[in-house]
Amino acid sequence: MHPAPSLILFTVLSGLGFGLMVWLGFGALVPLGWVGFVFWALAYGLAGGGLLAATFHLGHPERAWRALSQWRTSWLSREGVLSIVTFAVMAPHAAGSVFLDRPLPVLGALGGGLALLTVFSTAMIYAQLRSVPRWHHWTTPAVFMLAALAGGGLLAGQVAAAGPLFALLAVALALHWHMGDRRFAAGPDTAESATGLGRIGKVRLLAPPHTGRNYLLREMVHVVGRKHAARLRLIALAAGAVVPAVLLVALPAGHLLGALAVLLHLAGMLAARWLFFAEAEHVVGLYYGRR
Amino acid sequence: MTALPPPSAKKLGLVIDLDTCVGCHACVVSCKEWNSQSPLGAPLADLDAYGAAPEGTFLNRVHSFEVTREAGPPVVVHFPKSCLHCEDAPCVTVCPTGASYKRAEDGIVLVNEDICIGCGLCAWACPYGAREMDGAERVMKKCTLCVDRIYNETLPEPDRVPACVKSCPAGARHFGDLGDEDSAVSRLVAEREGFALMPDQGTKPVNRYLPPRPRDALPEFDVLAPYLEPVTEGAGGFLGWLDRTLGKI
Amino acid sequence: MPEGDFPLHALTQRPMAMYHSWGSQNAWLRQIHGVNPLFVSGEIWAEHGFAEGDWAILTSAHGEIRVPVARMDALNGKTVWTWNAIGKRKGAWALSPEAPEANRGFLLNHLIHELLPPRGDGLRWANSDPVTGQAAWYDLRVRIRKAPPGGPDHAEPDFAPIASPVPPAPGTVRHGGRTS
Repeated sequence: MHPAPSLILFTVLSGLGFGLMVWLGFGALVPLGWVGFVFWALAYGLAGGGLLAATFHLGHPERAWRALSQWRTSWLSREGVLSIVTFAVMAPHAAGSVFLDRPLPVLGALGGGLALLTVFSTAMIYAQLRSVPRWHHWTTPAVFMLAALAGGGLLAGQVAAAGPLFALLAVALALHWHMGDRRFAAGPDTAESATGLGRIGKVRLLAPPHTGRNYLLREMVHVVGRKHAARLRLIALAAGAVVPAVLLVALPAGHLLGALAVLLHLAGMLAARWLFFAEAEHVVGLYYGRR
Repeated sequence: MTALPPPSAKKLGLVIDLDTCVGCHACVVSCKEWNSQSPLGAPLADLDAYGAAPEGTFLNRVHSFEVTREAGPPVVVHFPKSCLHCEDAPCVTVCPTGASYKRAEDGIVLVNEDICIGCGLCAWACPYGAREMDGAERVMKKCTLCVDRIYNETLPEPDRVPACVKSCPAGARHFGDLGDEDSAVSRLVAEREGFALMPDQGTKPVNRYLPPRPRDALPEFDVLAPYLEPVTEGAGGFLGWLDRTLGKI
Repeated sequence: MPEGDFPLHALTQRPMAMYHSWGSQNAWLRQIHGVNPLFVSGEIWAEHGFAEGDWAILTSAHGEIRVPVARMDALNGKTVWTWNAIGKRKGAWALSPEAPEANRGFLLNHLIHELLPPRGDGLRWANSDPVTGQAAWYDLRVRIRKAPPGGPDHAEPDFAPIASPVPPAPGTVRHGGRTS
């Protein structure tokens, strides 16, 4: 799949923002006044910025509001609705903490749960697609939610909890890659089942339907840059999860160290999310003799 | 509403005969022609039309496959592909706006371009590559089964079929109600063991494909040899005269 | 002509799709057939060690061309073929000089002499069908070899662009229908 920068930014930034909201909402820390303002601005800024980035992916961003209507069937719609509801439910708690020194823990906890659900629904936009075997698996929401919880925990200064969460994230990433590498080949969809010509023999593309480019190939049979995948996986795993975990567990906590861990994690997750898209093979590639 | 309607009794769709398709792309071109002039939606654009990397929107495309058999030489199969109007259309349920929908009355899957936000998720959800985002209009385009032809009473009756069916010079495309067991298309599917594409995706496509018929094996040459004797040998009349005259030249 | 020197028949035919428009270089059809590979049989493919994306040198008694190859197992081992009239000179038909037709499209014409060999009467006859004037494509015999690595990323011969007598073509083309 085409690794669109807008979608990479959307999933990474909004995941981090909603992840931070989970910790703030459940009261793992209750920053008040200016400190509170910084934390809440960061959470809303990351989550909102990510959603804004996502609208750059749309052909008609001015119609984006219509995406809130189909929450009964569409995970993308659910994601939109949940983010707005989370923002709204969380707002009194945030405003109370910042301006009145009066946190509202019940609304906070409700908002925290909604924030986690939002991240889950973001992951389900991808995990629901049977046409992309690498995504269609529980490791997809596992990676998205652990990344949000670990990254958010780090931003919230929850060093003790974030360390193990990073370790879990590393495991989830490794599982997502390891199992994902085999799923397409192990699955039922082949050039033979795609064309139904398996009853005659072995199917091979002789000539594509067009020698020019098309939307399908650009969007869903994106193979550019996959040769760097092995190296990028190492970078993503190390910077996104392993090094932050080690830093948090092994070294004394501090703002500088925290900032370093955040930057490393962000860079690592951007790489991981690039891989998430670029390595995902769509079954339509079977009609083009490519994956 | 992107919830799928209950399965309709009427399931309009195409039956494509892979035995007779010659790979001429007439259906590809007539499809683009009809759907570009249709008042139902925006024309299908071509970006960089005369440049280094032309890229246009097509709702129907013809692939060419080569099938290697266990016995006999490999065969070339031309393979037209457009929307299969699935009963369990994953492209419809993922749509966040309600732009994608499946008609309750005849099962046709359509896009309301006026409320499509161009997110592309429906194209991702389709395993068959049946949907393409238009590069100029930035909305999703797909086969409408020529809904503006098949019910169009201003057209003469024989023309009330999809443009691709009408234009196919090989008669390889058939249109009809696959929900009706007695329809011509359903009988064709039953007779020729028509099949669905990628059944494991669970989409329950309405469109069916008819497999290439078994190829004739080459007979022993001496079976035909008697028939290959010169027909004019010893013949009289005009042919005999012609044969003798030509033989002298 | 000794068969050993030129063991293969080289054929072309016009793609059916191109008959959907006679008018000009059509924006739709050039997406269907914008480049033409030389189709070779599985035997030739294996014999010369071709891989996807490779180029071949095709030689006739008259000339030599460098072309992209593609494998076709359904083809007999004595024939190579390609789609005709996809290759264009750079600048022709008001196409961009970077157009695929002008870079990865090619013609067999460069392998065919316009005149037949001398027959001893001092005249050389046109190498074409006496009735239709068509060049005698089906007489063409060739030999093939893998192009040495490191060649250019376009077919050869490659001529300088010609000036277009018409203004540059538009970028995006849409016609008919509703536009909003």
